[in-house]
Amino acid sequence: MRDRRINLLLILAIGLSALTVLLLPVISSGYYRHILTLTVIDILLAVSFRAIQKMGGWNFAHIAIMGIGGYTSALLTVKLGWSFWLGLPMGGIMASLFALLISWPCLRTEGFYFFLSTFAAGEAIRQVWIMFEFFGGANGFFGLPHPETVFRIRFDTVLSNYYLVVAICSACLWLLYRLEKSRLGNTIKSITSNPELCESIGINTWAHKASTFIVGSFFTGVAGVLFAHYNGLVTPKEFSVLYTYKIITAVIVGGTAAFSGPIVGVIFLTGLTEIFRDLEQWVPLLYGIVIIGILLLFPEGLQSIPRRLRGKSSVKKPFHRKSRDVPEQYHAAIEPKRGE
Amino acid sequence: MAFPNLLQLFLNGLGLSAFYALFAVGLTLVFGVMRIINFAHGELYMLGAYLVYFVFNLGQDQLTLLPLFFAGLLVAMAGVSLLSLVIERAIFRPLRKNPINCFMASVGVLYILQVSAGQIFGIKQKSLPSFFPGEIRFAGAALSIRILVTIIIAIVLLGLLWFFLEKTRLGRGIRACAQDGEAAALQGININRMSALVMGLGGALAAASGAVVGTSYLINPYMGWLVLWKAFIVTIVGGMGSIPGALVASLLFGFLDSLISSLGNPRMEILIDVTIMLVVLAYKPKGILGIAR
Repeated sequence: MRDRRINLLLILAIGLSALTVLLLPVISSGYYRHILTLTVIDILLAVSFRAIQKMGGWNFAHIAIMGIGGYTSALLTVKLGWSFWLGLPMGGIMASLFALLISWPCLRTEGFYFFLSTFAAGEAIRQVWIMFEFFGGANGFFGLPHPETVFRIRFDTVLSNYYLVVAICSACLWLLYRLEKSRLGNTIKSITSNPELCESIGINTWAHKASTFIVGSFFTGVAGVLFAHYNGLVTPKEFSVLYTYKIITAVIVGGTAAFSGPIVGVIFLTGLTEIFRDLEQWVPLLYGIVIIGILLLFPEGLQSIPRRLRGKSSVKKPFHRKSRDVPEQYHAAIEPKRGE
Repeated sequence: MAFPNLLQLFLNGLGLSAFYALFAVGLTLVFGVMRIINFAHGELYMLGAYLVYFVFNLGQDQLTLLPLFFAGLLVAMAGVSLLSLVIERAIFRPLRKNPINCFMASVGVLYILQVSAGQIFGIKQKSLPSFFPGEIRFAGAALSIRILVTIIIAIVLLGLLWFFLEKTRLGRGIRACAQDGEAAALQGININRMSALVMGLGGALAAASGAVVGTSYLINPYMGWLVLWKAFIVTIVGGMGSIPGALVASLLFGFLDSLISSLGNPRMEILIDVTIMLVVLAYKPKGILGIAR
């Protein structure tokens, strides 16, 4: 009974937000159409970030990987005259290849090294774009074409591009959602909660982590292609570490426990940025206060608020009452099984 | 391409290494005890440079350049370590149970400090007068006094740090915490106090490195980024949390970077450094002398 009510609410919520997503740009002005398009791309970025984060790694090369997608498509369409529809998957594939390349050194150790080394690797990629004329140097590429007409639908206005971005991003989100609920997703979840146990029952933890990273990067690359073609240009400046921080802030603000977390986070941050649009130089300060405030008050992110109001925490507490006194490395041992 | 003078190369490399060491040792010290990667370390460094600038403007008329610089250095170190203590108490301590949250909070601190500095001091770049003009010439090489001062300050500060960590009771406490926090707590060492102490020391070192850089480069609110990036590579290669590792890696990258830039293309630096880092990670994941678990 309860389950059915929740399902009904969920369907209602999804239906309402779908309606909003489809109708909002029709009634809003050009500027907001632009912001909405970028927000949808950011949502895909944040969700793919969380997909990678699920295996335990905070990927600081996220925007650089997105840029690889954008640059690949820019090179293919501008220099070789390929179609956007070929550049789109190619961008994703190149992003995946890069993830494959750095996953070996970067995934050798746990935790901290992953984000530090991806941070450095991402910055190196950006320098390569600036350094070599092949990538257009500091000015990047201009004049990326609009997507070609398919089924008589032309993509030459902001509105049509918006719907294109929404369509592709929704498809990607759906795939990412299915992936998380699949057997692979469950395996990855168990690897994060107890790697030793997983290894002892014969799961190749490294391969699973690397494949998560690679698959997540594919979607990041796709987001990069959409971003590049929507803007019509790629420059090294657009894929800076600041953008990475913005996505990570959104993921933290929303929380990583639920699939909807990063989406909530992106919408919240975009709203905040737009409210304070006139005070642009103060926006990073606002981000800082929001991150710290959220971490101190709602460590599980905004998406945990409804659950908290119902008096439940989404993270199951270890049943040992005084778990604080137990050293961190034994927490896994005293924790009850995580599966629902 | 003429091969650069070896002695000159050595001196430049030594100067660069001294700066890397000052910056990276603070970062790795904080990581060793608190298991936090302080992303705002670069901003502490930026504030150090600004405080020297502030003191310089304040005392420009009363004092000559040399005492002014040392007054600025002291004010910067004291001020920034005070700020670090506040950050530790207000943000890192409540979040310490989860290192990733701490790290993210430090990204928040980074934003706040960056915008504040931009608003207080202006986004326009500032420059200090050359506190240490002149250079010493010998054997075909030139050692500018500025670099000499950087090297001396680095040796003095790191020497003091070594003395403190090795020879005093408090220092022993810090080393115990870095080796094993729980065991140290069982011995009655107050981990909170050690964390605060380490944050203060790290802040002071960051401020000192900012102060020496401020005398020769332009100061702006975003100067922390670039250095932080290099410091990450240095600490990864040296091994997170290991001070000797950070020193060795600072020397390695200091000489390497000065060699690369004297060979013509300073831009290649970033690629070569990252490649080295990735290779070290692939074959020796915990760095040259790493202690991270």
